[in-house]
Amino acid sequence: MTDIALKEQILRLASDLTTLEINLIVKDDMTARKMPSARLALYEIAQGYQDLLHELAPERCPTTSDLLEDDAARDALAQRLIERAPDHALAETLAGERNPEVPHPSFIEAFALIQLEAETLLASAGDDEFRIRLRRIAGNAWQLVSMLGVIATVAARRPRLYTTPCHYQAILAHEGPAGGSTGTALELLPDEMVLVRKAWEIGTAGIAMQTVVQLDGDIVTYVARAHATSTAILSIHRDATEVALRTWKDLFQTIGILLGQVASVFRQVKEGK
Amino acid sequence: MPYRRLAAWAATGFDRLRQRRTETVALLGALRLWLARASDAPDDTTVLTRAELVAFYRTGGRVFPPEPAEGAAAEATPFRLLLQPDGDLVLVVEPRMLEAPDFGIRWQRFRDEVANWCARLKRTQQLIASAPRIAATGLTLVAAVGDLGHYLGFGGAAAGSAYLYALPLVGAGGAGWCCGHGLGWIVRRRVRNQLGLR
Repeated sequence: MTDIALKEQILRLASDLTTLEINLIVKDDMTARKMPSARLALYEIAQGYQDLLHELAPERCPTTSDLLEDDAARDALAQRLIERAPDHALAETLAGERNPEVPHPSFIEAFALIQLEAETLLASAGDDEFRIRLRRIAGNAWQLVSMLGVIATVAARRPRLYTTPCHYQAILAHEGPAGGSTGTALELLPDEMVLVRKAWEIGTAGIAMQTVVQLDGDIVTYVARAHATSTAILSIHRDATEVALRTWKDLFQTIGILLGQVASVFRQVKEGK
Repeated sequence: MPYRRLAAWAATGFDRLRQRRTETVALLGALRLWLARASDAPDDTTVLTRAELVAFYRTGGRVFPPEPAEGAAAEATPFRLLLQPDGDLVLVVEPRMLEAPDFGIRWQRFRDEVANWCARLKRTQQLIASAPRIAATGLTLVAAVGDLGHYLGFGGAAAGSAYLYALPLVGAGGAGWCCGHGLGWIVRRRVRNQLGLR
């Protein structure tokens, strides 16, 4: 069992709020498709990441079905993880006995392995665009491992969203592309849903333009070489950035008003009403 | 004299309640506004409905164009925008659209739809920002009722000790004291539970 502190989760949330990220993707055959359930969305994210890793290095990275559905291949990968990163939070879990009631490995194991593979490929990747994509995969996989670790810890200790304590493998076991039912729903909190939603929405697509705005005022914009001269891309990205900045400003204004209200209530109480 | 003390206690209690009158009106007004505007079928379309607001936070953001209903087929779209509660934004564009002659018009229409929703979100957030004030006013009102019951209870007891015919007043005051303090205790316990304090 991973023992990821709640502190990490809180730090991630704070970091999310202090950084604004605007991504522009150019993608063919797009539809207004609804995001599936959290469990199926996680499966699709893992599938997309693993397929890209396999495409980049077919000899060393297994396919999604190997990673998520073949116990022998997964055990071989787990062994590599234990050998290369014995201090990894998951090493002990992977080395231990599997829960016989849960047929598939959990998402937490799959994303930990994806993260490790992406980091390994990143060290040798030459192409800039692939480096960016690999860095995103490694980063998102790490965030998902942290998130799932917190869910697993809380579910085992004292249920937050679950009525009875559950084995984390039962909660986090994937169900394949069909997304059947293990009997234990995967319920995510709003901040966890934000992370899954974003990872699912972006997938492994190459980002044409990205702007990151930090609370201290720093703004960094990345433009893919292929789109650097497109006025349409620059124009809609500028509009999208304006929308995001306005929403961000409104959010902080609301938080400011809320804090001001609370402070005024406390002040009134202190002054004897 | 007991009746003087009773009168003083009652006057203090009523005075406290009277002081809360402005807050009572403000509380009821704000509640009415909140219920009217944040209902599922609001008269005023300048704010989000409760269902829209809950979906925005629970599902990790709002997608434009709106996602199809459960079971409905997903239609092709030239733009897809995800706006998340933490402000992050993901915009996906169909490459063919960038070359289309009506690109400018379609993008303008899409941008206006997003901007309109964002304006509604802003107004809803401003409405929600008044929540602590409403909650605090509610709590002070409960405390005021408790105070009044308290004064009536003690006043009634004092009066009862002096005059036997004042017994009904003792009963009414005692009931008021119990109700006020009981309500205060329940509210306090719920607030403490919500804040995770034990």
